[in-house]
Amino acid sequence: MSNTSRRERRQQLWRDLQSRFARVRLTDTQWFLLLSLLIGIFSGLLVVLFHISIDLVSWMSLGALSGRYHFVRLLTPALGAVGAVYVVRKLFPLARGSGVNQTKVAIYESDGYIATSTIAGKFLACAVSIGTGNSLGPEDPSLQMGAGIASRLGRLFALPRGNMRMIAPVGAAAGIAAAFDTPITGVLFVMEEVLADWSATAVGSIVLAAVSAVVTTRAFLGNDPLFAIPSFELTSASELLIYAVIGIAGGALSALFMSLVEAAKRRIENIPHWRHYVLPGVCGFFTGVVGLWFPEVMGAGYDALNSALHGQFTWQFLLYLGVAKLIVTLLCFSAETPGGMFAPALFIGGMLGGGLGGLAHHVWPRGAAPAESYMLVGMGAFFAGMFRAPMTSIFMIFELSASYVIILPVMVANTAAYLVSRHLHATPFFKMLAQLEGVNLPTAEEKRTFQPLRVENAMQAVEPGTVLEPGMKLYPDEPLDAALRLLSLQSHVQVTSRVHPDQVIGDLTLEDVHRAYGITEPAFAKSRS
Amino acid sequence: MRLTQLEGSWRAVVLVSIVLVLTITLTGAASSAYKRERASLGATHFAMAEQLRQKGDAETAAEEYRRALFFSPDNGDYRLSLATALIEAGRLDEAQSHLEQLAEDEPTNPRIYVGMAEIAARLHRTNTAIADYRRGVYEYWPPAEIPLRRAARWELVNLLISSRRKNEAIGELMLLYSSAPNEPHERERVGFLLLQLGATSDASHVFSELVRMFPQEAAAWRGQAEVASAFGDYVAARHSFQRALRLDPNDHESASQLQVINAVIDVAPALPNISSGERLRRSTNLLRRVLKELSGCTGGAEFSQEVATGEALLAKRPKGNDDLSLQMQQAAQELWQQRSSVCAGTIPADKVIEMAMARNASE
Repeated sequence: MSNTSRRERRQQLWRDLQSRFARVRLTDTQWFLLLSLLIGIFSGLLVVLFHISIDLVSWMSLGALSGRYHFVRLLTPALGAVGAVYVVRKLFPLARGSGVNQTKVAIYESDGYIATSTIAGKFLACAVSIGTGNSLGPEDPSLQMGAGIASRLGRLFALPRGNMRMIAPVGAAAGIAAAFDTPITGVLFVMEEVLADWSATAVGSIVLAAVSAVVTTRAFLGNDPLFAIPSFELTSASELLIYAVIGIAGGALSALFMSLVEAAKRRIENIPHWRHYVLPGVCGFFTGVVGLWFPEVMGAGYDALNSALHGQFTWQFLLYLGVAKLIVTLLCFSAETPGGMFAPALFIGGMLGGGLGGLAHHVWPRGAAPAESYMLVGMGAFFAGMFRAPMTSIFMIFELSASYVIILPVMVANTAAYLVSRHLHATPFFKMLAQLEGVNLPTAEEKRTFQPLRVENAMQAVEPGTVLEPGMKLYPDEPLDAALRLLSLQSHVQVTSRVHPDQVIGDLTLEDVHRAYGITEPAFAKSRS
Repeated sequence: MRLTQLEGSWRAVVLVSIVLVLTITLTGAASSAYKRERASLGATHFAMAEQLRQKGDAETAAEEYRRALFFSPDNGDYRLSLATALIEAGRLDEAQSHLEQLAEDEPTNPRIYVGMAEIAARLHRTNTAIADYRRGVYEYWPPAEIPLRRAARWELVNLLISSRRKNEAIGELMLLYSSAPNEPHERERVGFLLLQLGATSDASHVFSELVRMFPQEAAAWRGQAEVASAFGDYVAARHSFQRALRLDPNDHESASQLQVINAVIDVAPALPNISSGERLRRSTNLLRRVLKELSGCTGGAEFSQEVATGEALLAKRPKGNDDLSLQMQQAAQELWQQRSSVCAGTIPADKVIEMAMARNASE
């Protein structure tokens, strides 16, 4: 009797819940924002667990024992790399490759679909590889895990195709914002690099997800920033010259690094199948060897960056560290050991900036600040040169330093780095990786270069006072595609001014459109036949 | 998304809610354990660092403090200890960087400014060091850290003295005295420094109080004696030095100073409450001592004439009046004033004569 009544009560409660939920009326936008909030929270939680796991693996593998027995430090990265590769090759094959590119592929190719196993694979493989000291970072995997969570939730709530495409970048922003503990950077990076579009309709959701992810991370890991930044000040205007030099050097070094990665990856492709496990193991071993002299280069390297930011190292040692990190990162990344490139890029840039700044201070003690002041700018410069995301690089350094004074030096250095790197190595880092894998993904740089044609690019100017005819009209700034649709209904379309809609300023025919697109008449006829 | 679809996804909402609660619980438990472990590892390294620092190995201690800080980056005490160890190890730039960060996080922590002052003092940036010490000692200090504040104030005083900012040093010394613990040694140190800086009245106040509060303290009596000596009251000084020696027979400082004071009294005719015979005796002693001091000096004819006059005065028989005593004092003073011009080699510097002459001049 009691069992029956209890069951009835449970069923009643279930029905109540159902009917209450059915009464909730949310618009599509509200529902999307709510989902973004959820994605942010889940991504934040996952990044917290990821962070803890990396530290846990690191303490277990590189803890007290590695200080006592050198062979532990030598072998741990090698074993970690082989283990991580096994995870992505055998257990979770979908988790292979760059997180940023995989997310972009999901957005552009598979309607935002990212398999749930990718999240587990990335988590496990990267926790092992980074935790055991391989020179890679946790941000790129975090980005993909965030996108994966978003995709999983989107599928769970059966979002339509259009919304599924929008939901993956929302998760990506949450993931990277939580990893860096910088919400603005998360938003900007996704807009600039993943979506490659500033006019994305999901901006509100991206911001909400990034903020909720950072809040969640801070709630569990505390409010400590990624770097404990000492106060920054610009000692004199002439110091901007030093920042410009750091920018040029950062741009050149990032281009060199990308060329080396490209060359290494092309060579590795020719090595037989056994390379998949042997190469990461060998490169991990080499990382361990370098780690005997420079333990700072192992893992993501944030602790060493923090120490360097507090003036622990001489400028010469900063340069040694930068070179050592560049070599081991090149090896680990080229060998396809799972892990991201953001943290190593910040490390190399920081050490380069600190080293050059320290040299400037050594030569010109009154005009240049101590080495650590240049580290942040160096980070931004190398980041801008490598990932070609200038806005992200500027705001990332601003967010990390919480200093307005740094904006000007960072802008100078990042612009220089961006231009130099683009000149020396035309393809941005993620685009290059995608091309090496035979995938063609859009970049913001390309979109800036190849702007869509507008009506004004094709129209023929008309005499002032031309009479306005009945029919549909166009404005000069509208896309030329819109004109094509109208020209299927009428032989020509008049173009009017936005300020004076009665004033005809141009006329457009199908031939004008063809001319603007560069389609010649014979070619057009041939294609039709 | 259409609302009809949404209404059909209530099962998903329930599922997501359950997963969310479980994930939050898991993450909460994991992060608590993680933070506990970090704090524990931080505390272990901190304890090791403290031991190393006590042994004087500041460089290795700094390395351990760094490890402690790595595990607990928001722990201000760890960072401050690291900065202090770095100062001891001479790594001033790194220490300064940590202190600057601490100053941003805890702008009212006085120990940060004391650390900054130590760095500035080592880099010979005296004005900055003094400003930082001041900021440090005038901030609020918890009761348990008052001895550290006193130590910082002493460092400030030493810096002020070395940079010849006498009046500011005297002011800080008086503040140190007014807040000194109820034991004589630090107060005596204040008193002697006041004497050294020429703040005789303040020193007199300090030592008067000290001999009243700690009458069995030999150093307090020595201080009292030195104050009396500075005022030219050699008899009172002699009494105080004798008292100090009775309390501490091994007080060599008092013993040597007592000898000087006795010698001064023996040649000081201007001291009050002495008979005319005694005054003549002391005047004779003074002139004889001056002539002896100048015996190696060769001046011109005028100097020789004055020496001859002095010797004639010594040979003169006393006739029971003060004229001879006064003449001897004048002769001694004139001869003594010429010592720098007539003594080509080392100029005589007899402390006893100087003190007696000073007393005469004040009369």
